[in-house]
Amino acid sequence: MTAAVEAPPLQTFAVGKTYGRRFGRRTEALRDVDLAIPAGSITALVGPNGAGKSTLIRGFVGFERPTSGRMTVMGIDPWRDRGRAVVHTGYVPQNASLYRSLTVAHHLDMAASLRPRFDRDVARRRLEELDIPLDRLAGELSGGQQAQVALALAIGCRAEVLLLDEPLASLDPLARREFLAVLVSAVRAEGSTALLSSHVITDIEAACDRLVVLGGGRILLDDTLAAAVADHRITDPDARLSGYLIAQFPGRAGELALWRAPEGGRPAELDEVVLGYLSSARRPRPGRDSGAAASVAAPAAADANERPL
Amino acid sequence: MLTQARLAIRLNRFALFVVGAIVIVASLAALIVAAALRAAATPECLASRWDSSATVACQAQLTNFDQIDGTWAGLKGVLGGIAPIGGLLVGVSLVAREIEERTAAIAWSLAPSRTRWLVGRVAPVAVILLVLFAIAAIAATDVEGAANPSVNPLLSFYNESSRGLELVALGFMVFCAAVLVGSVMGRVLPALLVAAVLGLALTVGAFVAESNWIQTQAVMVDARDGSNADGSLVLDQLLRLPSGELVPTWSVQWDEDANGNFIGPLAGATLENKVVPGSRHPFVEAVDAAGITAVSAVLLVLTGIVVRRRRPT
Repeated sequence: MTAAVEAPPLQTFAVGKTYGRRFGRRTEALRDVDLAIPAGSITALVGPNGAGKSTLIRGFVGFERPTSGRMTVMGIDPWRDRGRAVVHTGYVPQNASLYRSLTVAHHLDMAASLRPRFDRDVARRRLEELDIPLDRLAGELSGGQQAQVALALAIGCRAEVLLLDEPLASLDPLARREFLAVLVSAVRAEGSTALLSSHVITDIEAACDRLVVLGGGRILLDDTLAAAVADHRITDPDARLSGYLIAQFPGRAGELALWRAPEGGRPAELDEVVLGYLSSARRPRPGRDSGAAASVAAPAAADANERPL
Repeated sequence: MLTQARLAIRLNRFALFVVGAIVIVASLAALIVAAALRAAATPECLASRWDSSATVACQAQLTNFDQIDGTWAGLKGVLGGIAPIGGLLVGVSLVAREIEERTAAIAWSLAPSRTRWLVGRVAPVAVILLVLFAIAAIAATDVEGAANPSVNPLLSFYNESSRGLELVALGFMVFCAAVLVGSVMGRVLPALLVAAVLGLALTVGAFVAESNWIQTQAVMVDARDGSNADGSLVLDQLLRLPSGELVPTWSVQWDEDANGNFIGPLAGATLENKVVPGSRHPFVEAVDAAGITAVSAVLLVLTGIVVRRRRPT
């Protein structure tokens, strides 16, 4: 007897998204993205600004219409059948985006009035555990607390899929860790699936079990975190201090691009991100570490993702 | 739905408070002015205004009456303008601010139906505005009645578009236009400017449509019997030739005798006014309001389509 194979909760099929087609300024945010996020996983979606992370996540929420291909949430097309797809997702947008003039309790009321299965008690418990006062105006909360409220709203949806669009971007390290701890515990408790985009790879390494790297609208890497860490190595340990070009990372999934800050300049957030992750992957390994600086491509030879910061 | 209504009102409480305060203050002022006008001159005195029978005491009353009426004439303008301006200010930020401040992203990710979300946002605010506009419209009608006591304001076309049902409908139409523009543009300030232009264009369009349609309600009466003194709306004055044909007064030259009768080639012709009697005002007002409300409904449907399809930022 063959066990029934369930479709992954989040899937894309050759998804492409082009902005500005009508006005002659075409920007390809996504190009032929094929992705399948397995059930029960917490997947980190990383990449530089403009890589297409937000576009992909917003596509799953039904906020963006793919130009080509299709995407599904629990087998439902979120653009064509948004009403049915939305009830399977909990979403944390960039910068929390709460109603500044409403209290936290009002936000729970609003969520309960909009989402039929919203579990107010679950959301409230999460917030009480974090000592976030329900009677406080959202505008008076710290950035970390606002992110936690947004996460509590998403968790309260008790949805099969959690989609988090750069929720850590404006948080300090402590708040980031706290946020991720709440996320992991909620995902494990509910058995849901999470897709989290972020710049800050070092932090999410502890929380996520899969890694998807997007660059120039394409998937550069899609693997379990353990395999990605094992199979990729840093090629230029001093990259953040030198010029602006690309380093190439040979690995099982192909080459991983790396951006650097202008010479002498402060490394941009992106450099911190990509280097941060790769640095953490650069654990001393017998016989390998000494030859870490392997292949640094010249700008002219770099792939289409190359660009100065 | 009640929760959504409560939150929608809370989110727009400042704009609603400002519009509400202006409406209440202006309406109270209108009621006070109306009372002052009624106390300033007796009906008998006002009736003698246009003949020579007014006594000295009556003349003093009339002077006082005219002084009050002149001083507070601007109040009618305030009452007439507050509905469209209030509708514009409240309507434009209703959806635009949610998009601008990115709160729409959270709301729309929670709501399986954006249409339901929109109804929850618009309906409670619209109900409050309609009540406020109605208060302003009633106050404007009352002060109109006090300023022209010989005419029942409900059966009169005097200042019809700045009071009564039509004022409420116009305010609601501008509100709907503002909500639509705000939804499309997603930014409050630019949307405010565009919505003001659209609201003005729609208002002018409504007046043009009304002025065409109202011709169908007009009757021809002898010019000596039909004037606007009784609240009727005089649309035109025509000359009825002895043959029965109606011609514009500017198309012929005529001579009159001392009694105002036509002489010469036009002897036997009469001047007739094309009027809509004041008694038709309730019907005309209802039809106008229904037409404007239909336009408002179209604007709301368009808003629904925009909100369903657009990005939340």
